[in-house]
Amino acid sequence: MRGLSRIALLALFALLAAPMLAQEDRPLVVTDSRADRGMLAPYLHSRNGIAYLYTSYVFDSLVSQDRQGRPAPGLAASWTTSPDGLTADLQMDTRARWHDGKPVTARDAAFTFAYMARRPYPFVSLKNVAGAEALSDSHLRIRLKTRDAGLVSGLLMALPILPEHIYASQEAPERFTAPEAATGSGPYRLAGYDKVQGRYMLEAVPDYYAGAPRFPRLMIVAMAPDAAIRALRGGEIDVISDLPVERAALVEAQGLQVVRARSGHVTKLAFNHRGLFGARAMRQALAQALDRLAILDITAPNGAGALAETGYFQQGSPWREDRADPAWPHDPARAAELLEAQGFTRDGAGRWRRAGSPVTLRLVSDESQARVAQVVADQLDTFGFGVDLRLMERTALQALPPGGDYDLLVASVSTTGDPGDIATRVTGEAWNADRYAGDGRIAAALEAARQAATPEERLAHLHAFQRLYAEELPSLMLVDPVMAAAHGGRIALDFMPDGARIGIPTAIDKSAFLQE
Amino acid sequence: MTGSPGIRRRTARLAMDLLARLAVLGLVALMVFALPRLLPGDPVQAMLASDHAQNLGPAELAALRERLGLTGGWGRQLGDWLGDLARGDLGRSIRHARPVAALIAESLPWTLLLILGAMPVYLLGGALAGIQAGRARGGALDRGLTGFVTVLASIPPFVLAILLMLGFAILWPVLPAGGALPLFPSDRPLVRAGQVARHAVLPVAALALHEFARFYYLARAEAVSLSRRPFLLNAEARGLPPLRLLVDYHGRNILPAFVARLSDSLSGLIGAAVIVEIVFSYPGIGGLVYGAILDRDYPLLQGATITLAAGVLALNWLIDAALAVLAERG
Repeated sequence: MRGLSRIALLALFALLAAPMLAQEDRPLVVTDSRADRGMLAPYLHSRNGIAYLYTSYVFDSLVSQDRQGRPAPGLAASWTTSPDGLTADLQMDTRARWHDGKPVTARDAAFTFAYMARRPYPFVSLKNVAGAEALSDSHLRIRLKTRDAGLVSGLLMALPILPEHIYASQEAPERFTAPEAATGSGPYRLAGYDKVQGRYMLEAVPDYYAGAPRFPRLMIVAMAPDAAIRALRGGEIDVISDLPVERAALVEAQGLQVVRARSGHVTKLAFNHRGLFGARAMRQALAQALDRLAILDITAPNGAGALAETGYFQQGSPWREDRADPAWPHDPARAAELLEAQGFTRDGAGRWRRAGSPVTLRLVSDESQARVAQVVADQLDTFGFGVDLRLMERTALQALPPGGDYDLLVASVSTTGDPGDIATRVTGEAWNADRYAGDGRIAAALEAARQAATPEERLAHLHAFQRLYAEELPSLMLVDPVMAAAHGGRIALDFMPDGARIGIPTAIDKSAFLQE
Repeated sequence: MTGSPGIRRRTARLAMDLLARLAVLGLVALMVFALPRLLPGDPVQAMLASDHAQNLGPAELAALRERLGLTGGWGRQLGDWLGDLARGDLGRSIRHARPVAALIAESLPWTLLLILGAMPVYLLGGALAGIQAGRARGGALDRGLTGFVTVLASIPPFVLAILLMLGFAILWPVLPAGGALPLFPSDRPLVRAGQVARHAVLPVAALALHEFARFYYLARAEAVSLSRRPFLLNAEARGLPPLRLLVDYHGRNILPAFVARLSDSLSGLIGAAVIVEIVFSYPGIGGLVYGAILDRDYPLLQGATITLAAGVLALNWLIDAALAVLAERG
């Protein structure tokens, strides 16, 4: 019996002692609260922004981004556009190499344009590209169908360039899962990928054309926030890339460093423009029936969010005009006036009626926005509307068609990144787009911005769009959530203004791992 | 054919049972094909739901659907899938861009580790505690244990898992809060096995506690009933050692009931494993199936469900066969 006890004690000691094993030459360890993001190759990674971001560590694009978010030389060392804006000439950086040692040429870039036109890659739209050709190994010419003011900061920054010598033979890139699929030209090469554990090991490319990366090895691991905080405190990891902002103060109190920023991924109230809220006055009435400050205080207390700007662009966006957009403050009397002008009446109990029938608004959302949706429902109920709140499963909500069975939708939407694709988010048909047509002025302003000849002209059109958006209210922006990341001091982090690459709100864009 | 009529009857019955289970498997296949397609949304919609995805035109969407095997009506898709199944091909996951069989092969061992780790704990623990409580029916031990187990049985598995995590991974952090391996797993097999075991302790405990109550009640009821039987009273009067009474008298007599209940508990155990894996971020088949539902990944959902269903039905059949043998022995 004593022998058994001894064995049990030894086993227990072995179990508890396991984490104390010494680890030498530790890579920079970054945690991600979500599990596996897929293989880091353009056609294999998961279809979300973070998976795209990780893939950008391995695959470079023609135009890169500096720490301030501005376009910077990438695989293309320089570029010029023709006066009519329909032709772009790019000079490739001849020092760039694929991870297997072969040189990156303009032919690879031209091949990528042709390949992705035939096999769409969801994060890039090539609809406006008439063609791309390699005039030499170092000279790429891109021809556009129409002028695109966002060519450099949009398409050229977003498009990962593929190696022709590897992908040319791949008819179905979604099925190409061999390790060669992750042969990129970025600062890190994929050295290990454990799908089951959700872990990536990336090794620096020492002769990277833009300078050797700062960390010889970079490891990304899936780890729940509580475990990650403990591991950061214990020095086992270096960065928590997505720290829940409500834990930020706790983490700071433990002597760790936290960076925060407004995400620009705004929680908004979208309207069904094919129903009750087709009229602008109805949307403005609703905006004043709601108390956005109270929604913020209840759903994002202690600095977990900020009051969203109503003119689409949020604070910190380089595209935003520094002006006071209409705030649509809580004004129930004004909201009532607007509703009465639209033919609504109030009964003795203060409930709104239309054509003699009580008005019940159908409000839909999913679990991720349940709190905001509930507060909005409560406020509308207090104001006198009946509210039918439905919290739907995420994919079911995404399947809700335009003009479908709803009046109001609470959803999150990105307002960051190059404004070239704002039209898809405002006038497009996607589930969380505004699905707004209106009188066409907003669409016209966005098209004018897209085809602007100069940056100044583009900005002027975007400022006009901002003013129109705040007045017309295709959607009512409610809360701009704050994001946080934590680190132990081994790396200096900061959130990239207006998001990384395609507008991903993150503090771990690949520029953070490169020499200044 | 030789053999006694009893053996022939038993063989015929087992064959009939097998056919019935194959019919159930066929029904499961039809359901797992149809049900996900009845849900709102589809894989392409889920794939392009990201804010950062560009709007694809109709031609681009059609090309994408074709490449993902989502064209044609239900009849054609079902025919293709059943044809692939007959060839042993479970298809290709849309979200993971990998063969479903490979994904299951990577994940299933982790789920089996939890289930096989939990089984001895709750079977032996439930039997020992239940027999002791039943033998001393109404005593302090019985009252205390039964009260504790009643409270335990009323806690849903996900709450139990969270409580264990809170207790032993956060408030008193002696065990890992999630995952199946440490950040830097050892290359030495023995140390690595220890690391795997350490990470499995909490999920296994959550699963074992979930099933413990079921077998505790069973063992207790059997022990109460046995305690009144003359052969046991006689054995106690003869002064047999407690261990022999426990193993040879109580243990052997509750074995058929335990085996019968085990068959019943398997499907519940797999359901609980899915939840426990999600709570502990454990890389088993639970997270895989959960993600497949959210992403409308039809091939993965179909492949994983049919594999699990085939496994459960096969085990049930084996357990029924064992029960038949035990019943004939009397």
